[in-house]
Amino acid sequence: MDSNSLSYSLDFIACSGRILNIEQRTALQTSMLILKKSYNFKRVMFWGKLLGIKQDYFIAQGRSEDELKNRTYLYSFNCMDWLLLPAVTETMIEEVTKTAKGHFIGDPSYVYEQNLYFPIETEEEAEINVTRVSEENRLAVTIQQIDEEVSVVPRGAFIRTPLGLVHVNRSFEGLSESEARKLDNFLHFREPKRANTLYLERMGDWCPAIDFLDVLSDDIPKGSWSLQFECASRVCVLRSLLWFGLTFYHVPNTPQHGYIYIGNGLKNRDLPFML
Amino acid sequence: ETALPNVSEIAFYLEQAEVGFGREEMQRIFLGLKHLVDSEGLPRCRLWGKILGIESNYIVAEAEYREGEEEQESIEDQPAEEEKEPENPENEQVEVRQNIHYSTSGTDPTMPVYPSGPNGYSNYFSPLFCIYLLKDRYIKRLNLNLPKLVTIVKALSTFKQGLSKNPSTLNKSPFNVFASNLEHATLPTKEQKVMGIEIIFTGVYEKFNEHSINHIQTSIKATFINNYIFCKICIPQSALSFTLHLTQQLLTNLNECVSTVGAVGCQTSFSGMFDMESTREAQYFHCLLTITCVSSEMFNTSPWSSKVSTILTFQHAIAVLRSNLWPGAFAYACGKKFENIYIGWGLKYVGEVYSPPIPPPPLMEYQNGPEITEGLDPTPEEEQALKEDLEEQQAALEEAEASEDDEDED
Repeated sequence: MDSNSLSYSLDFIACSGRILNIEQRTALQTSMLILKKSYNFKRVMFWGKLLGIKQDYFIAQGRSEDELKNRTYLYSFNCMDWLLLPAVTETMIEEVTKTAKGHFIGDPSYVYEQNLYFPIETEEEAEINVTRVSEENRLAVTIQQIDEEVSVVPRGAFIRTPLGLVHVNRSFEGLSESEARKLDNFLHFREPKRANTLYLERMGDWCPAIDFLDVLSDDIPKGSWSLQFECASRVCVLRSLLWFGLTFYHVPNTPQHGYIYIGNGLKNRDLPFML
Repeated sequence: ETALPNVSEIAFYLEQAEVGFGREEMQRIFLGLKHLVDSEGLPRCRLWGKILGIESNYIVAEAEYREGEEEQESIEDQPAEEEKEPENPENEQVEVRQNIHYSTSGTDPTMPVYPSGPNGYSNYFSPLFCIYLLKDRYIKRLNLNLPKLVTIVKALSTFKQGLSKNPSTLNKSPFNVFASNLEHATLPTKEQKVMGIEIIFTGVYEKFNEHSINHIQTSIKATFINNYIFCKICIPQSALSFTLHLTQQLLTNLNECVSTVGAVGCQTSFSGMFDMESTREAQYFHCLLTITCVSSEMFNTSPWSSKVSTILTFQHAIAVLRSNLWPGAFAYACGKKFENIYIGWGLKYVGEVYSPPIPPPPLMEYQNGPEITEGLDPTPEEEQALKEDLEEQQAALEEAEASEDDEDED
């Protein structure tokens, strides 16, 4: 969620049970601004919190010109000192998925090790098959995965120019009450994976500038989102069942929206068996 | 002393522990609890927490039912409860205070009371369940809500086991009421599972100081021990085992708490407990200490993560415990005040998801070596040369043999 709106938007996601205490909020107020200036971001978002056994990570996301592509992540323990997370590569993703298991520890230098077990193993092979991953890398990969799979924006909040640049739609007035009840009107905020022609069947008012992202209701398995109206039915809240802890809020008829992840960073792979 | 918990204070401390509902929602819950306490006349009540669901959420309060109510009576109560429910919306709407109206407008449910089993101790705390209040909407919502909520809970089989061990306690499912209301026969079993979930939660943590130790010494059974871990194995049989398991967790957690909270300067007298060797209660505690908490440690992670709420102003910080087994269970303590709460999906952390093992790597062909490498056939010239060589060797051999024979003959 945008750091400018942090003070009031935390109330909207509080219905999921997790909030930030006042010390963290005040620290974020100042440190986000400092981040913005020092890294020259256009917007700084407070992305969320990853709970570790010993310590929690606070994650911030900085956005530059293109909202979709230029996203950098930073982490901190005390909301004041921010450290840059490494950019995620394919090999990193592979390593992390092989080795990292269990809860996050809370120590960025902690190393996860994994021996790939082969029945016939000489000494040399044993050395080669050990993969090591630091928790920092695991953090970066997890955050990227979460953004890839469950980041949400309402339809119309972002515009893609003909040149391909994605930026905030200043004339977004918010979804109406009835629109906000349909999962169709919420989009994944990631590089689109499906062809855009599907929308023509779905909506009468398809517009290429705003309908360039994947729709939430196309997610497999169906039913991996919980849409509710909280806070006396004023706020539309979406919770993901794939990554427990991701909460998206949107106040209908206003441009206020945002998402946050506060959880332990473990994907719920059992979801198809739970629905 | 009032039965109504001081939800505002709890909310204040929970906010420092980074848990909570948000101030307005807490206020609505407060009012809902007040309504519950007033309407049911509960001696004691406590906010247990919130369970998130797909369509909507449950807010759970825990209360002591009026003592002396027997099981049979509770069955009879149910039709009475049914009648109560339709009345309530009207009552609510008559209420002048807008807040309560909001709290029953379909988002915040209200809570009927259902006692648990005949066991004297477990009657002490009977989980209450919330249902929607608005007559029309809640019936529909509940249809969609419960089955989905229940199916989102994993390991249903274990819950069934728990239920079979405690038929008395858990068959008194509040949702029998709902079932009769809704006329859905299939619902009760599923709802019993939900009930099972409620009971299988972990709330933890009490800070001892000398005073409360004495308190516990004198009356273990009746003491208002706010610290409990309901284990589905522990609940059923005896209050004794219940307290055993309960206080065991107290002690182990106390250890943790002392280590983290030492800086905060709270009073804990762990040693005070060991002084009670002589008393019977002490023996309970003593044998508890031998039961370690290792069983609840899973997958090499400790069952709880503890921390202090703030380092900058640690003189007034509170200690916070967060469960790793049940993500969403929290406990805080500050001086003599403590509280547990659960806000989450009602799912236990059961480790890594099952992934089928990777198939073995494909076998390689034999390594190329001199034994299996196919050699080139010799060319005809080579063959000819070889043949001539062989013939020469043969001839040489024959000559050698012939000359030997000649020598022998001589």
